[in-house]
Amino acid sequence: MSTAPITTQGSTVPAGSLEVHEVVKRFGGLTAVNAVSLVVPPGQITSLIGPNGAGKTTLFNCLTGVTAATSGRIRLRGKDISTLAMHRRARLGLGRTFQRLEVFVGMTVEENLRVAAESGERHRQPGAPQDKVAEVVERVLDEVGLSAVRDVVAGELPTGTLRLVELGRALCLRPRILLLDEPGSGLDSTESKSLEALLLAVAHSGVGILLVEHDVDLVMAVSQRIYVLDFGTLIAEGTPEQISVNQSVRAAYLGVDA
Amino acid sequence: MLYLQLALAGVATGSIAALSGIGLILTYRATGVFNFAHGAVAMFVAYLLWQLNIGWGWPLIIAAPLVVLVLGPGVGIVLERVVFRPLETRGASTSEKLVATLGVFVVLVGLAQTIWGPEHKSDAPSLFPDRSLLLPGDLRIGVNQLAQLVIVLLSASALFLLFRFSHLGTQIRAVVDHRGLADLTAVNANRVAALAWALGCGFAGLSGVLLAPQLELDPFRLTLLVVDTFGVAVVARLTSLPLGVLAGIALGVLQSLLTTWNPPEPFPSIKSNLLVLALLGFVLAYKTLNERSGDGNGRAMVSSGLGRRGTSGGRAVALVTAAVAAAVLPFVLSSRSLASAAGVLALAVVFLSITAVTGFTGNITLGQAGFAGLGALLTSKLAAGQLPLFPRMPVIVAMVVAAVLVSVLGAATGYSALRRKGLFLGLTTLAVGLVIYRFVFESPYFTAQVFVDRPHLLGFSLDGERPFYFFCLACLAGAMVLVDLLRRGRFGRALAAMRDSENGARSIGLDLRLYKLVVFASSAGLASFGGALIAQQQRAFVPLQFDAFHSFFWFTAVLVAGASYLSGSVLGAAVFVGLDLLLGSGASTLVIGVLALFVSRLPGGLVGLVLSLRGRPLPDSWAAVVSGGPAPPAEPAQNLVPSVFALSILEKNSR
Repeated sequence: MSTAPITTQGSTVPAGSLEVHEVVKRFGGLTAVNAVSLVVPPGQITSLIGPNGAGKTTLFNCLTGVTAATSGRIRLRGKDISTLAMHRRARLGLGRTFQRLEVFVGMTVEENLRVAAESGERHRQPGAPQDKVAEVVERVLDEVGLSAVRDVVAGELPTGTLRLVELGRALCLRPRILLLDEPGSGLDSTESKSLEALLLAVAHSGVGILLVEHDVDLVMAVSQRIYVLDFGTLIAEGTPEQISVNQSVRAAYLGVDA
Repeated sequence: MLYLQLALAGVATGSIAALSGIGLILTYRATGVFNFAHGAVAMFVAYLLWQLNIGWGWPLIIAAPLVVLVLGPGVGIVLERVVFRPLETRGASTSEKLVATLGVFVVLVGLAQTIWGPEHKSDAPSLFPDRSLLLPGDLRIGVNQLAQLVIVLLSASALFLLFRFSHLGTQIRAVVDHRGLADLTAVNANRVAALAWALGCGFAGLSGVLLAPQLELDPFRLTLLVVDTFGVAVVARLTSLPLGVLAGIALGVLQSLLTTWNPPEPFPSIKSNLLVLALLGFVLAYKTLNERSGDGNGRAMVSSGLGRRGTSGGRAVALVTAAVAAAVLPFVLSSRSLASAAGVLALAVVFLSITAVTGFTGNITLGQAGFAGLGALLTSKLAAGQLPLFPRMPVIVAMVVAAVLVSVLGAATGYSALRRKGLFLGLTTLAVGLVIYRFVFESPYFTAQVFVDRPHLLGFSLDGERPFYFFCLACLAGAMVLVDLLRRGRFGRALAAMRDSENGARSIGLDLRLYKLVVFASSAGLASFGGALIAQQQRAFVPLQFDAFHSFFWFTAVLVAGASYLSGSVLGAAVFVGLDLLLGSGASTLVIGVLALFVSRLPGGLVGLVLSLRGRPLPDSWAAVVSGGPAPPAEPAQNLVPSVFALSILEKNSR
């Protein structure tokens, strides 16, 4: 087992990656994330899997700045973002969704997307024209398949749809790297299929995706690379084929000795 | 020897503060509700004793135990049963419970005003004989002082033992940890909560009864004195009973020792306001209070009207009607009711400042009267050229400059709001308002010789009632445009996003600090402007109008009227001024207080109710989802008085 080495020149890391180096998060005596290093290259889908409580969401929170990491470095496209506030990281192109939904429930679906697009475009180009914002919103509404409910107040929609709203909202930022925390939970099999297609399309457009997901079929189908987290520590890393035969992964999931 | 004597006296007064403080802590620990009405309960119970003993001539030996041991706790049991248990059953949010305590506060003050009148009663009975004992070393201690100390030590130890060792204490701790789970394990959570309320209000009543003979009994002063003891609870982080007792007594002793000190102007207020200083100091120093489970999110408190204003012609028609009515009013009203109408407009400007903070960001603000009063005071000082470093200036310019200065203070308060929410923020803003009141408005150094002039505009005097009315109307219109700007377009959407989910908003790159600071600063500036108008309407700066009571009243009135609607502020102001004129002073507080008890069933406030009755869907169909309750029940429409009609009622009354 090895993790990708990080060099300051980024020579072994594709330009435009999210690089996570030895990130540690402790809550009092509990080490929730223990020296995790990984790379999320642009244009690819990288997955992070592991049993409940493995520290996946905590890692997400450290990466996006919801909580400060105890130690370690996080670099986005070569820039150290370890100490930046959450909104600064977002402006640099780090989008995310939440496992526990953080939708703007009092706004319509379109407004949810618009407020993100406005923020994104403004920080890309001060005084960005409204038609650019509208263009982004329309494209994403269409892409994610929310056009039919665009004028519905978000609080009235079912959870599965709200996950799409969050995904759409994050896409409206036009992020370079997108962290998705269980986007597939609450979706039926048809919806799951279209999510799969959507993720592949987004990655194809050049966005790097870090996916946390319990739906193993989905993960295996879309990922280029998979990291496995258990008790806060990375226990395996590799292609879907390598992971599916990895003994320690089976042990972590099924509780048998490796 | 003098110091020892002073310290002894301090121990006695500190004991009362401690008694009140442990009452607060107890209720909070066992129910998760910080009882903002604590002072009002103390005042009400003190009045009950007065009524029995003086009013009806019952002997003290019967009346006192009855009041302290039965009626005081009884108030708590009634509150739990009637107000807080239904909220708990519905799974109401922390904010909703907080507003309910404000409602209780307002109701009790209104009741006291209605039953006993606003005048002072200087003959409140004393529980203990007014004698003093000679102690060794030539020290003297009053019998009542000694008794207070004994009472506080006994109660604190009893409570400590109760929490630590008894079965009941375990049950209380279980309920605190998880009410639902405690229910499952056969702990009767309702009974525990009732007990906690009874004890809390019992202590409030006891401190009220002990305090009453030391000052004249009226609906306000005693109440405010007990509000000071919030400082004790805050020092104890709302949890520690021993720390609360210690803090109360220590602050009492310190305060007593300070009486020998003669600080230069303008600082003598420090001598009598140590508790308030402690409240502000500690609330700023602590990074967190030991707040209970509450998410502190205000979104269940206000409905979300943002971004979904009516686009139909209905809104335009309503606006034009209101504008025409407002313009015609001066020509049909007598000058006395025109003055009241101007008062409504001035108050509406202040109410708008609350709408901006609470309606648009979901944050609580309990110091708004402080900002308003400061605006009034600064305006007069600036206009008279009495403020150092500033030249004498015309009144209108002075109003603007004052608003800018106050908005700086508002931004500073907003800065503390960056890390605080819910109850914690409420206590912080309350402390800011209290400090402004005690150290500025109560100090003759600042408030002597304040002359309030109505403005001139382009050489025209706006002194007459009619011109001044139009000036107020113009100011209100301007304020509405300003506040509307805040909720429109990109800025408004960002605010709405922030109110719904702070992490969601951050995740799309919104810098929440900026938005909060802008809103708090503009709100304080607006309050300052409205405060200046209020003073001008009365041609005097009346400090009492800008005390903590008014912060409570106004905040509650805005919530009741509908915090997320601009028209809510006008309606709230009209109800506030109108009911008192119509039914006598105290009526507005009573009505607003009663409505506040049910505000969580009325998420859009009165305005929201009117809109829903007119067939417009509530903009916050989700609000019911968030607050976990059913859709607001339709109440009889005739209870509602749209603002314009309220003014015509004023007219009838004054003829």
